[in-house]
Amino acid sequence: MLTQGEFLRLLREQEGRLYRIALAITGSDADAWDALQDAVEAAVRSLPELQGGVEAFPSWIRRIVVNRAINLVRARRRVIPVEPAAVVEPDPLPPPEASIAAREIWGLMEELDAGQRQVVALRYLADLPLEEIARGLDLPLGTVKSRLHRALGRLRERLQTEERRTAP
Amino acid sequence: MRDEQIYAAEAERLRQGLNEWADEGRLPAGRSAALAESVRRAWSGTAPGALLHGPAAQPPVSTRGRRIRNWMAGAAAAAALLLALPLAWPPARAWATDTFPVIATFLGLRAQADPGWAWALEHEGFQEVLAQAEDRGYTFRIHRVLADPTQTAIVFTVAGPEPAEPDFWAGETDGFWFNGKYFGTALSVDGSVLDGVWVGVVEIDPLPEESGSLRINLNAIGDVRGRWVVEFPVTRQALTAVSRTIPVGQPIGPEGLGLQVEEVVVLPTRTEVRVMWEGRVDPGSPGPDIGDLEVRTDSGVVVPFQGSWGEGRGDRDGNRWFRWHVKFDPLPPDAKAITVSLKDVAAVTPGERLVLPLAEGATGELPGLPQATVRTVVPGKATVEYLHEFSTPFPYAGWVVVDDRGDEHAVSSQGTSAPPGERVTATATITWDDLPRGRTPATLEARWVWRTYEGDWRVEIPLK
Repeated sequence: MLTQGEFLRLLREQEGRLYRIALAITGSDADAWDALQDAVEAAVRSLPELQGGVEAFPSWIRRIVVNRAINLVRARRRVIPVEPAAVVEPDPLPPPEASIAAREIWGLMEELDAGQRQVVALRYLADLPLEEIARGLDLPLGTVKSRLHRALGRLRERLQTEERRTAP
Repeated sequence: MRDEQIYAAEAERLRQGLNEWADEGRLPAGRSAALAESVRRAWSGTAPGALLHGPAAQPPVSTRGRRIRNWMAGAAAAAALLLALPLAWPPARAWATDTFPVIATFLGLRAQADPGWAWALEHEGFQEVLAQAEDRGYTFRIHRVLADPTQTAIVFTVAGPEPAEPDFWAGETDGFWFNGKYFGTALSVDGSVLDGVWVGVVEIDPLPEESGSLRINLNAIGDVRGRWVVEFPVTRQALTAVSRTIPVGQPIGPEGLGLQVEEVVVLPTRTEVRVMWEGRVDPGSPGPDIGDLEVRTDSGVVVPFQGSWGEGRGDRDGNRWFRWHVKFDPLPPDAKAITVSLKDVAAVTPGERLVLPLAEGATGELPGLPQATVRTVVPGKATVEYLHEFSTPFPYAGWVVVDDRGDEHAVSSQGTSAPPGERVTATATITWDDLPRGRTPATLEARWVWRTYEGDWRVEIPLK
């Protein structure tokens, strides 16, 4: 089993990425931070379940963060079933290192509605299959597909608009 | 998944871009330290043998407290909406809200984020409709319409075994009809499952006439194909009556380009700035493209941007007309004037071309633009590279291959840029079919040379 020092070192390596995964799913700095803290505490408690040691740590803790973020999204939906239009807060982390491509993609994420953004984040950041996303968010599979379709379509529109301005 | 196959390139770009973005995340030092402290506390509360079963130490109280407060605030807000909205409804509307309480909740939640919707709710700006159609076990219902001179927002529900978003695009060309005529419109949909039904809003263009009958032909709900046709009367007269269209006619953007702020439409539900361009371009060449507009009131308030759409027409001689409809939140009631500002415009310069001899290593350059180099040439295909600022459009576009007799031939071209950075290497891959017998490709020519103009162009518009 990992020592506390190893756990902290591995967590330090992953924490920024984990936070951003939670942010992409929840759309809120406060919720992402809550999900990350909850997940880390849960990870300490369930550390004996970690199979594969150091190498397995990143995907193992990512899954815990994703689950916590999904739980928060579901809890929010029970309280306020439809999200207000202001769906995602700006990424509060310092941006200087962000590549242009990454910033562009986050720009697109900020344009998506909450439902689409959650599906995209779970599909492409958490690598969950669509069926699992549907179960996690308690949505029909068709709705998950539809949201992903819309998000990908919007990206294509955006790229085509860019291409119209930039095509060589 | 089919969509991911159809959108394979977009899906891959999304996956790659998102993961790059996530990889670049770094927690601020304070949060990082707080996280480490949480680990230590949890660790100290879990003796090795108790890791699976023993109680873990609680995280810092402030964290848990904040979460509970947020949750309570959300619950209180939702409860307030559920209680307040139906009570605030005039008696004439009670039947609809009684039957579909989700509509009141949906309207209330949207109104929290959109002051135009809030105004419409308070002033009975939504027309009440109850039109419905059933097929394949699904019921598609129309409940409310917000129609003004800048928009038509239709609130609907879908009920059935697996409530899902209606696919208004599935009919392709027969979706919306007004007064018996096809209504070609842009559209956007937003919504979610709420209390077992899909509740949402579809926003389409403003009605072509003040009043009439709107028909929606819906052909798919989620993955279920069917036919749901609803038709209902709708009018934008009431909101037209409280709208003001302020003629402006002031130029904006680079001198001589011909862009102007044509007019501003002020409504309690929305503000719309209309920017117009009319001019002449080389036949087949595109007109200019404007960057983001900003609207600021005389008291310095930046009015939130909502989106934009455009309409245009042209002829084969290169005469073009285009109008951008740029949408913003309603103006604050105390606004006496607004300033519309624009910081960048891209335009193709008529008559300007980049000519490259069709030979590896050949170069070409235009004043103020990057040098382009022909990197590879094989029969029917060439690649051209140049360095350029990522934030500006690729300057060279509209490629053709010109043969040894001076005739132009169409090509296919695809542009990529890599690696990510402020300055990127753009690569244009240009391919063409065999030329007529006896002709030899001689040059590659970019017929459209985009130049980006940056500035701080402003138009001040009194509202009184």
